[in-house]
Amino acid sequence: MGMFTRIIAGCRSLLRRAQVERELDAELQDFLTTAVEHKMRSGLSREAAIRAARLELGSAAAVKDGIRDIGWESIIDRSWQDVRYAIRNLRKSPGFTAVTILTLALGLGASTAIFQLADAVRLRPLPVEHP
Amino acid sequence: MAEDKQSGLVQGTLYMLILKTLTLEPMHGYGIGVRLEQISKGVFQVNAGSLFPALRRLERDGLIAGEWLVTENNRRAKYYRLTAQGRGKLTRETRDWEVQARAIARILEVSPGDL
Repeated sequence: MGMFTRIIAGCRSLLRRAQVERELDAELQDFLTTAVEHKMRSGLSREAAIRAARLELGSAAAVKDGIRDIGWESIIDRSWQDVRYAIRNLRKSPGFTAVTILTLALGLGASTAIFQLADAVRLRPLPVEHP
Repeated sequence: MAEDKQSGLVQGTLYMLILKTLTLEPMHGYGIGVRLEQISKGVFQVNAGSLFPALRRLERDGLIAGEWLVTENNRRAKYYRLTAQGRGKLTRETRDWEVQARAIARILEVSPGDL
């Protein structure tokens, strides 16, 4: 179906995440309730019906995860989660973070400085014929 | 429906079966599962873990449309109905399926003297 439809649907679920999530919860809850009623009508006790319905649904979290994985916006969602996780971990160990940033900064700085030197001295020919 | 008997379902046919089920009447998720099980006489038992992702995908692709309605016992439930696009898709998929099924049947029925 149109790529357009998919893009729109993805944007919508990114923008209205809370509502999408709520609807999903409501839908799964309704699934459970309907399943219990259905099973009680076919002669199970309330407890047995609830148990059977839970079994049928499986882990609601797993089902929701399976649904969330659909569509391109889940990739954005996941990357954003990764970024947040990385920042959280870096803040937990400021020493490590400082050393890492310093190492990168010094390493990049030193390499650039040396390259500038090499560039000026060796790579660019002097503007005279016989220096 | 507790167990995943999806192995009995050829890959990709769940979408077609859901679309077909919805030609009968708009239904909510649980109803679709029960209906598939009834019509197939228990051969296909679709669990929620396969059903809901399939519904979501069909809805996103515009083949079915979900709508929150009040049920007969005064609850709100999300009913899915087939869209025009979904109807077209079902027709195409059914045709493809019939062609393939006939071809497979011919291959399976062939005997040494036939060729």
